[in-house]
Amino acid sequence: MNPEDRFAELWTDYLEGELDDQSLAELRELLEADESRVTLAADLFQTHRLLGLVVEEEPSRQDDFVRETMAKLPSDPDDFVGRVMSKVRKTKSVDAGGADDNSHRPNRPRVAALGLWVAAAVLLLAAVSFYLLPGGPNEIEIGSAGKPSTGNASVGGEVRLASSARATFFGELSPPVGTVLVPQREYVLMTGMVEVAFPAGASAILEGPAVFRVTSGESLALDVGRCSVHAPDGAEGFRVDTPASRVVDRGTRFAVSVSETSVTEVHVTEGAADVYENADPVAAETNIPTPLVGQTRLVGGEAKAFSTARGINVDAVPFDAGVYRGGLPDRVVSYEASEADGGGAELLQSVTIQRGGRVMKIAVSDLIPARLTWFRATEPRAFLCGSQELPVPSTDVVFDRSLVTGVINPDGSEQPLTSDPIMEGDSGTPGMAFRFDRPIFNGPGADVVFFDLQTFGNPIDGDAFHVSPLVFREGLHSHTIRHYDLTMESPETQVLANFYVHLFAQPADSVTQLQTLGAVQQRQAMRFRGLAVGIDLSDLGYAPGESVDGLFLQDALDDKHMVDPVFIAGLPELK
Amino acid sequence: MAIDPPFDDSQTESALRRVRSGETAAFETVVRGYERPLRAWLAAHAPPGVDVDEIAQRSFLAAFTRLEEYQPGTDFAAWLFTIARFQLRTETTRLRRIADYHARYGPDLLQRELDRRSDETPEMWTMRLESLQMCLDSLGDSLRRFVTWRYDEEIPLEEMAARCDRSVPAVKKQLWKVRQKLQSCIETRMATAKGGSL
Repeated sequence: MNPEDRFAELWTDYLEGELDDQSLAELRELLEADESRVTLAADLFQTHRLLGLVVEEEPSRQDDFVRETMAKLPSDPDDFVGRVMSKVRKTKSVDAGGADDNSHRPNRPRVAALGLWVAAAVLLLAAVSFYLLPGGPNEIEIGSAGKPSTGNASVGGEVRLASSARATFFGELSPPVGTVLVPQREYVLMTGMVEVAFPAGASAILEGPAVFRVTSGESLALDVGRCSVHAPDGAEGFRVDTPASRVVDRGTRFAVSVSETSVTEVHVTEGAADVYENADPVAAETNIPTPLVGQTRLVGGEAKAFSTARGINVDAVPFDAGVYRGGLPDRVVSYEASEADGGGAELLQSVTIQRGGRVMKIAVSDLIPARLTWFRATEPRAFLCGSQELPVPSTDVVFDRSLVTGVINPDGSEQPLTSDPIMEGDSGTPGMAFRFDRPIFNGPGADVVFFDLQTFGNPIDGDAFHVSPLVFREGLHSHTIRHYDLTMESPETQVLANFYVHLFAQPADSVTQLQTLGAVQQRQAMRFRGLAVGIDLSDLGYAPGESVDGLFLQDALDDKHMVDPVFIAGLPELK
Repeated sequence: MAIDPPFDDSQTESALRRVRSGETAAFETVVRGYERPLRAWLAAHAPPGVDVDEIAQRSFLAAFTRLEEYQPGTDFAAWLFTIARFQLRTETTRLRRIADYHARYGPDLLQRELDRRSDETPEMWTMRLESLQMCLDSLGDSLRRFVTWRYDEEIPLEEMAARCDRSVPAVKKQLWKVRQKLQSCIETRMATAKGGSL
């Protein structure tokens, strides 16, 4: 074998972690003999490392990284205790999760010796941390049964709101993602869903209506509503307390539903959970430690109902796999935009969206632009918005990157279209049509992203509109959107920059008229917000993978407010 | 789909202002914006045995806790990457001090070469990462499957051999070929990109 072939063999073995001491010595000699081999080795090593990064670079992985990093931040940069406790928690999670638990990390060396070395290093760190860092227990529990209350309100300080979907809370705005949930505070989720992340890795998805409290870094109290818990390795022991029971995870996925009469149903999807009956639900509501009696172990595929109406009752109920929710629904999660000189969001930069369960951030340059091809309104209104002076033709601004320029107040219909819209002449269909610069394909989740201007006098959930195919065929139909992903109440919705509306003295019944009719500019005194929603082509009846050139849009005429599209674009095909 | 690092000064500075005023959650914007280029740069420059994500997180934590030292309006990315360089250096020094490290993870020359390259800009490594993604897309299915098996499924060589009905040495040759091909593709794309920007 010539030296180059041998080098290739040895270097591959090295990257694969299969090099023994003798071969390593031989590899060293080959490297020392020829500088170009060092360069090649480094090139291939770096490509190898980047491959590890690229292949595992699922958007959800990025979210995990961000979440993990945020969870490690001390609550106050100057809080030394917070920093130390953060490390203590980290030590605990390493200890509980296994020393070599780096499955999602790039370049996971698989040579056994390395695993041992990493384990030894982690154990050493853990040992050092144990002796040098203050504190014993990693989490302090408040008012939990069987243990005295510490009275320390700061426990569970690292429990955070990980994500939310159309969540509304009673009497308050939804907290922004990343917010530390206040221990023992009652949260009343009216509608929508939130995901709560716990320090040891457990997560709970709560569906409104639900009333819940974070009771420690490893527990949640659910007074009413439904939550789905995933407790991965290292988070075993996570528990959900309900008025009637305590559900303790044993490494699993399970769902807990609590009715208004405090009947608790537990459905275990995977693994096992132990359910203890609560002997004194009234005491449990007041956070007084309560005696737990009985124990029922449920394993995957089992479900039971627990109630305390006439003594403690445990009844088998049919297992329903659909009760457990593995993730929040597909949606527009958030967006980024540049800040205008006078303040407020202006140019869209990226959209973060969940599609088919995958959260991805898409740069605006990767979105597929749309162009206005038809417009008809039956009454004079403001049809354009943007700066005081619009470019020529003025409709060029319609779907540019700006969130304060667009064609607004198109006409519509109470009834959505059931046949092809007419896009010429006096009998043209009221509304607007747009075509994408290149076809978009119906993939999982949303395929089109839509932004709307909205202010406080307008519907909180966004202006309802119909979206229809440009050409109907059997199986295709219109779809009405009445509730946006990012509403006036969403913390991710941004306040927009100031803009002008262009008031038209007569109705515009074509794109040409929109470009040529005279209009009066009026500066908007109120601050508007940029609402967003994803449009899923499947909702219009398109088959998976089917391509679409354009769509027709009409206001739903369900109230006096009209939809104000400021940005519409297709999403790139999912790979 | 692309996840471009923003390197948007105004957005970063705005988030940092909010962090300084006590809004810890605003730091997420910073982490989200820079995690990709930072992890890419670290992945390319960290020697074997270094946990890239750990160093990336340490770097963000250090930036967060030392934010008072950052002068607003200057180059946050440069400041962050300087922290990351020091974090990586600290870790590699620690590893060097552990007996037997060299014997086990070896080639000093590789380490030296990686050190020599550590001044390459983060932006360049983000470009390389994007080039690699495009190169992967252009890789034929017969080679692409080795990437999937090795880096996604992380199955042993023996299982790869069984799946493609070849010997283990043949699989190793395929992996060598894949890496070389991707490396060459990246270089070509980088050269084209440089040429195109002139």
